Amino acid sequence: MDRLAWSLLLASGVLLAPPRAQAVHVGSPAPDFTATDTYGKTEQLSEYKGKFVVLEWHNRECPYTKKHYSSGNMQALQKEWTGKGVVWFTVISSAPRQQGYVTAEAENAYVKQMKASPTAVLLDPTGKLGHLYSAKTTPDIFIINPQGILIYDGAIDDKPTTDLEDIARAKNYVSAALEEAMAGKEVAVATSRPYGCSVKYAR
Amino acid sequence: MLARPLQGRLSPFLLPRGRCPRLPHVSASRIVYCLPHRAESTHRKIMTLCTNHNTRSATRAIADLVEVSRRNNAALKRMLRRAYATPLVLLSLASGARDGTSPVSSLHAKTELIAEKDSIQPGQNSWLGLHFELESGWHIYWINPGDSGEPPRVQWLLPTGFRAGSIQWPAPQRIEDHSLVDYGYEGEALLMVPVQAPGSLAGTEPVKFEATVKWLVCREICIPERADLALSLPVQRKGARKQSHWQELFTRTRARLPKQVPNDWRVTALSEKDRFVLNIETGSLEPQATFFPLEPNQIENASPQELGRLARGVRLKLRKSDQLLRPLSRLKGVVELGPGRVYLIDVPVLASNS
Repeated sequence: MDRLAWSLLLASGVLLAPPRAQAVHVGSPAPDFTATDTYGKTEQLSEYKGKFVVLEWHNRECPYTKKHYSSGNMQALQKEWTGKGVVWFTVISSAPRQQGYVTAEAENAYVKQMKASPTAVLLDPTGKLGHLYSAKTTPDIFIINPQGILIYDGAIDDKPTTDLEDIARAKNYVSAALEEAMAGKEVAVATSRPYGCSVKYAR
Repeated sequence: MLARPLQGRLSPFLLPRGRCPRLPHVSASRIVYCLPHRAESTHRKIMTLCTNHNTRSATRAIADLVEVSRRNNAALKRMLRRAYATPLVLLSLASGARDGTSPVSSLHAKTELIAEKDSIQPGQNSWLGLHFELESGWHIYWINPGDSGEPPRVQWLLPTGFRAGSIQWPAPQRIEDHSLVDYGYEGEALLMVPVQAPGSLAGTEPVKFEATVKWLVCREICIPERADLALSLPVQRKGARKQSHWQELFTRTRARLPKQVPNDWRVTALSEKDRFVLNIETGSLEPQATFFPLEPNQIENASPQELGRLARGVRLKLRKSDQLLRPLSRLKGVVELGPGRVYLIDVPVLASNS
């Protein structure tokens, strides 16, 4: 192949990388953010220094989310850990007209119906918060310690399926990370491949 | 199929395969009979109705057509019974299959258990395959699904003494999804599995293989689906076995299975601050290359792979994943250099000198 053709080929192969959100690394400070919850209240991450914070990405129509909600697994986690002082934010980054997009009223009704107990549900239809954390799937879990450091980034547990039976025999990464961190130990599994449907950002 | 052609009253046509995904009872395994001069217009009517997703009138109209065919099928059966009295012929007409199986239709896929050869031989390996035909725009996933998704899983129910190996994954495609990148298959996919027959296989009865397959099929949304598949094959004790009519699909798929890298190639991987540099020296200039990682959380799937020039090969720069916490000791993946040129990469990762 002659030089011109090769350099044209090279030029077409080397693309500009898309603008990247601030990279989120376990062990580094978690990016601060402000977001609005379903009651119109503004929440800011830095307000919660001194507490553990869990971010749970959510899409009620996704079969993986349904697995954890219809079984009561997610609600049980929320209840257990908010009871121990953890701040739990459910985040919805679905863009308008995409799967999982909901109005505040609809989401509040869902939370009541599902008997969920997050500290708040953050609505992120522009995907700003999702892209800030590079949230990939629903569910996708991020855990921030009282010093503001990200200590977990990944899946809710180690069984990446939609089967309800897998919940009982799965190792739950969220509970493991919070237990270890609260006991002053290092988090054994600090990252895992998050599993679920892709977050429905705007196209 | 029949000793003499079906004259006069009724003529069969096969319903379009997989084109009516929202009306799963309308499947290709059903042969619709109607008056010959109506066959063409009926076919066109069904095609039009199929594209009117979910309208109640469409559903009703198709149900009416199916009912007419059922009545005509019954009339045909009566006619055949009088003329031939061969239950075997009736069975093949009704099920549309010769080997006791028919494809299973789910909302967005048609799945079938198929075989490369038309029989089993004691002590010999046979290639079976999970054949997926996907609705346009929908995809299933590779062994590493990428940023989201879940690969198909299979649970076998095999006759005594038989052993099934693992799925052989052909090279996938990159599938972009909401600024994330997945690896999977669109259109049609064959997941081949080797099955070993015991040398001690006795008897002359056909052997039945059963597989429960679960998969996730996605377009903008994802749907978990499953199918219980079965395939019966006769036993042939001596002589070379004949190929089944699926041979061509097996051959095509085999060309996309990753091969071992030839001995005279040189493949190295270097770790730089933010990325891996993969050098593949094949002996001649390679104009294209795509890398598919076998393990998750190592490279950033959504980042474009930077192609670089090597006099005798190609260089790929792969951005590291944000989730990669510890240095990587080996880089494992599949690289596609062109049609039918798919290779398995498994190399140690060295620190870069630069």
